[in-house]
Amino acid sequence: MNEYTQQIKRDLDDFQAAVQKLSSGVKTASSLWRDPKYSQLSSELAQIANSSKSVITTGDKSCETINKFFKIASEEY
Amino acid sequence: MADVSVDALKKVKSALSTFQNDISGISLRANSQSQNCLSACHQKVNDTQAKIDELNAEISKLNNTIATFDEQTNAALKQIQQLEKSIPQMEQQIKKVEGNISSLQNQLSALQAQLADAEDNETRQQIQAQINMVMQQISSLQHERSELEYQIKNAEQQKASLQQKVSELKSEKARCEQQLAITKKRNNQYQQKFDRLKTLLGTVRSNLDAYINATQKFENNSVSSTGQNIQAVDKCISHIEEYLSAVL
Repeated sequence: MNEYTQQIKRDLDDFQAAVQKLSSGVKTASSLWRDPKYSQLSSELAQIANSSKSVITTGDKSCETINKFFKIASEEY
Repeated sequence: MADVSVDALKKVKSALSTFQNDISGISLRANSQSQNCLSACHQKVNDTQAKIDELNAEISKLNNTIATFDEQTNAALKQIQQLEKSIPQMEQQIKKVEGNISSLQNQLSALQAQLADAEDNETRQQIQAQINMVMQQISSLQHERSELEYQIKNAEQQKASLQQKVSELKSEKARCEQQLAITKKRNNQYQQKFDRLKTLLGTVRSNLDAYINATQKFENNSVSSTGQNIQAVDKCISHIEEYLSAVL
């Protein structure tokens, strides 16, 4: 892994952690918020979590091709 | 019917605010990292092109060296041919000179016999003069023979030296041809590497564009969505606090 993919991976990890933290942070309020508004909010957060997948997928795919590029670039004959 | 506490809403607000902060700037970072990465990729492509240029220059230099070796070898072979032609001619010349020496030596013997038989002084002087002339001719021919022998020896040495030079040139040429084959192979490998990098650079660029777009879309949507939610939660908190503070 090179410095560029390391940076992207680190950002993706932080990103995933932020989405996870939002989900778990809102869940802690679930026992004190039992009306339909909570379900609405929960549903919106599920959409955010779902759309975060494309960031992870495109980021991982970028890392994969960048690693492949730098592996070829390091070849010496 | 509403069933929520201010504490719950504050927890939700805190989680939303933290998320907003965490997410803020993600697309900018992705964009900046992508630019840095693409710049490094371009540099790698340029480095590979520089290597190909360097190898092309080396190939050109080796081809020139081989051509020079060929020219020098041909010149030396031509000189050898000339020497091989001149040596028998000089040997033939020596034989001719030796024939003349032999003939003059016979004349000399005859004259010396005449001198021994001559009775009067005048005749003896004439014969002696002829003897001296013949001896001078013999000496001159002997000198010519020595000179020719020296030239043949010199030509043989030159020939041997040129043959040695030809052998060395051929050996150097073979070494250069071997080096040329290796350099051509390396050049071909670097050319293939260059083509692969160029193709892959296009894929890296489009994948990074997709990543930047995904982060921008996510950031815009989630910042807007969480912002609205924070405002809504704030409103709920203030309504509840207003309700709780009401004096009945």
